[in-house]
Amino acid sequence: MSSMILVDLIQIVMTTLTVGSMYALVAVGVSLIYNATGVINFAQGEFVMLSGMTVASLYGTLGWPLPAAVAAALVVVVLYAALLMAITSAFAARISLIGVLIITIGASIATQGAAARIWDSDTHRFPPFSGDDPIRILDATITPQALWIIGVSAICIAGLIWFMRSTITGKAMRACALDKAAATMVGIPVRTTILLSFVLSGLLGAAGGIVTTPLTTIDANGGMLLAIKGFTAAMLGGMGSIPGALLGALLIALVETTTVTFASGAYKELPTFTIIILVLLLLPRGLVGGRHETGLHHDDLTRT
Amino acid sequence: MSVVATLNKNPVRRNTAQVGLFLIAMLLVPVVFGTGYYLNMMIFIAILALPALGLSLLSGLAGQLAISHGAFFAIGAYGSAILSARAGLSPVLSTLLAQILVAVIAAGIGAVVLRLRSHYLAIATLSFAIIVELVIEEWRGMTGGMQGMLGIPPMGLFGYEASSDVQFYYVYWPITALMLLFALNLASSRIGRALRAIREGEPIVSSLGIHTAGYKTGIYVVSSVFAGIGGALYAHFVGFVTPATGSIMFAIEIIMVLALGGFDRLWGALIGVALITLLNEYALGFADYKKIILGVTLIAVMLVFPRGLLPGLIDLARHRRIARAA
Amino acid sequence: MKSARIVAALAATSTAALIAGSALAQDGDPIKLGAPLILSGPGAFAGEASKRTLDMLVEDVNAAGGIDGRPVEMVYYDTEGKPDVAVRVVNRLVKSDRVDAVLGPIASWEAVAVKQALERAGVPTLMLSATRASVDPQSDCMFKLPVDDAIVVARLYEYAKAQGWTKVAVISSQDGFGDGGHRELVGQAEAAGIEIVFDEQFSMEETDLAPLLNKVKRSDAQALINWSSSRAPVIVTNTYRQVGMEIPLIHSHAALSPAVLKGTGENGEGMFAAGAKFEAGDSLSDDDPQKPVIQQYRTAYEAKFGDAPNQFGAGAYDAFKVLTAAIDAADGTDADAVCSAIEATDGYVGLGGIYSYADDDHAGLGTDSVVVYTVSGGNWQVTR
Repeated sequence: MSSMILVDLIQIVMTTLTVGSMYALVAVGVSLIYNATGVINFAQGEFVMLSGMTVASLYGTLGWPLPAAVAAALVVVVLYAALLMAITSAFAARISLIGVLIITIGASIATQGAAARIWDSDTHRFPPFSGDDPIRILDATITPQALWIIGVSAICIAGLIWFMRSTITGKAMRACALDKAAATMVGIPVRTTILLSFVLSGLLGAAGGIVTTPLTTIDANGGMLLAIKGFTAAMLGGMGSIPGALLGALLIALVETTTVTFASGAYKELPTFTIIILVLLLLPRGLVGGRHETGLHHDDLTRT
Repeated sequence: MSVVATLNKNPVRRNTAQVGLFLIAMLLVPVVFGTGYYLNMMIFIAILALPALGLSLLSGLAGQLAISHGAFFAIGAYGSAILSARAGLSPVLSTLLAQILVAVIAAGIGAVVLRLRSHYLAIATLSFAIIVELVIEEWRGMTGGMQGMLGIPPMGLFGYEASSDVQFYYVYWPITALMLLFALNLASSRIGRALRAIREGEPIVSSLGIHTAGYKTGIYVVSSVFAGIGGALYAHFVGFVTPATGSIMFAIEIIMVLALGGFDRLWGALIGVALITLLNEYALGFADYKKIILGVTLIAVMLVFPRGLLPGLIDLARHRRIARAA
Repeated sequence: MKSARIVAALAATSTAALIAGSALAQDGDPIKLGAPLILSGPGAFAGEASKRTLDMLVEDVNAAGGIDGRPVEMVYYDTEGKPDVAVRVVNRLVKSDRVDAVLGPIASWEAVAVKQALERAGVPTLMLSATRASVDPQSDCMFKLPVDDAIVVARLYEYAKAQGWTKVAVISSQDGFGDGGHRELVGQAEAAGIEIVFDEQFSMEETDLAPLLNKVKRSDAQALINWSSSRAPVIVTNTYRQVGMEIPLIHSHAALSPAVLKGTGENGEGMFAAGAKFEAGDSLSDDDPQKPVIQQYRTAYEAKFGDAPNQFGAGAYDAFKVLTAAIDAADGTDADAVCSAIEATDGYVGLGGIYSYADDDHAGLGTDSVVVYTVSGGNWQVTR
């Protein structure tokens, strides 16, 4: 009986880490863009979708070598991120925060429609990097691809944290997030740092799409739900905080996995979204305590 | 001259006159153009105008955006559907009773989420919408789950049931006109002014002893009931509801309506609904293209006219006229 | 100036259309058929194959002079795989396009939803959905073509019993298809001598099914039956392998498509599914009356479109054949006459089975049209 509980526990931990890593890549991306612009990017899931679809068609269908397909996916996503940056900050000062949120919603659905035209609306998948043979830990099992997901996510996020803390450019980005006016005064190119945030955020999403597609499959409309999960996680942890986003993502994954294990898969979203409403009310700045929006935008939809 | 002057001084009379003329015009449409498939679209406009008017009240007066109107549309639809199809109440009664449910839930949710602003409010209401969609999907015994609920009786009273599109048209448009009049009067009333004042500076208004939270919750409830009535009318027209009735995509479409018609224009909401209904009709069968059109239009409108397409165009025309005069 | 030119152009084209219209009228009014099909979303492959098949058939019929001299005209709409959209397009088909008959919809949750609207309109309808619920309860002029869950479950239980798998776990998707299958699986279990030891539903949006399948793994089930459509069988199969399950995996007829095998790859080896003989094609015995029909359709489809057809296209093929034969027999498109003619269909050899309708049977097929398949060497093979 006790071994049963142990197996359950191992299974929950492994699933939480896998699903959590997937959410974390999106959530950290959301936080990066939020830091740079004060905007929640609804189109964050499209990074994942575009990279997954690109690799699936180039590597899975056309038979390109994997590194070439990955490189192509990264290029696609970087270009898309730059485009997104251009439209969201084109007239930023004139448009309310919710206005920009609406723009990213528009970008998200337009991308879904376009992806369904470019590819199709079927689900796509490509073979996992190290096969499908499960690895057994006691009676619990984990697929090798899950280890890829956890590993790649960990490396990406650790790399990002190092970049933000230890490089001049990273420090400039943080300075920019804290106070744009002051950053401009000391000679930090604000627009470039914003662009960089979008690109980094896109690359995180792209990494997510590349490692998770063999496990979860992807379709043209699959990005929006991931984006909602991502910014829910980011908000749970505290908007703008990278460790917060990570924590939020793991927490959501834990809640979902526990619900599915002990109740039913059908109810897995229920506790998640109840928790988000509660956290927003009780800890409006999230678990870790993120930042509140910068003064760049006003928050009234009807004023210009 | 004097009539116009009186009308201008008294907003209630002016609103009544405008809406009255509008309703007469609408009621003449089938007389002039006859019956046909277009009536089906016109009925959808009357129905979808209600959640749009509701959201327009909230965004126009409180300046905020909620993504919960799809959810309240669904609660109104399912509430009335269950009360009429399962409990056997008359559709009119079930429509009204469902609004009590909508109002109670909106008051509960509003009291807590309206402390949030801007995109925090948007996300909190989005979370609520997802929960509602989930409950509808899971409470299968009651709602029919993903499969939806069939066999909802058509709108009617005392044994008379609307059965043709013309009949629905003549029942639904007066309701929508009445709701429009109510919304216009609310916006120009003391309550409307108080809400605008709260939007401009909540701490100041609150220091004057005005109960700001009460006003905000109140307008949220009213705005949600608009959506709820729309839902009930929808259920008794189509005869069938599914979880998609109040999905996120539907909520986005309502936001799109306001982006077209203006976030603080009640009449604009009607025009926005007409445009979206036309788009939906012509994009029937081109779901992917519809998404592209919807998305790109949303981006373009927000970039060029952040307050909405219609107000933006009106401003533009006005500036031109002024420039020409000068 | 410009607007005058546009008006002139418009006038010219409308006159042209008028002339074209009257030329057509001389050959007899076209027979208008409406097809609400799932043409976008994850189930689009089903609608696409159906549309191509219908286009191909219409071309053939019209080239041969139509039915009783009347050309056939198709009106397609995309249901997006959503019941509410399906209801809207069906309303448009009957109210605005005024079609003579409807072929579709394909998805079970759409079929159940549009029943009411079609019933009210009284338009002859041939449902392409694979659930018995689309014609049960029966209504006057509504028929169903492909093999449905009722007969597939019966056949699967027969097979499972013969293999000694009497304790089964059932997982089904939360939608019209999963619900319909679930109803049959639970309803027929006792009579078939099968015990359901695990029964849970899952959402199609689920990203990770490992926790669910781990629960199944721990039950004492001797086989796992998965009742879900579109992409779900792929995810179930891959996860089944990832959690290291070894009991037999049995899918519904919705899994019988090349797309599923492409998605599962190696993981699909050894899994089961039951459905029409269509997927078997060449491996059917030569004395099977369906074999030449299936081969002929496959060859024609592949020659025209360059890839393999699927069972959904086959369903549309059978529906078109049954309907046009009925219109021919009824000497016109009068709804009552067409419906009686469909009910009189007896022993039509189609791609999905041998159809015989009756006034108390609008489902058309029996268990003899269903065979059990297993995947071997990357292909669906009929079990012996």
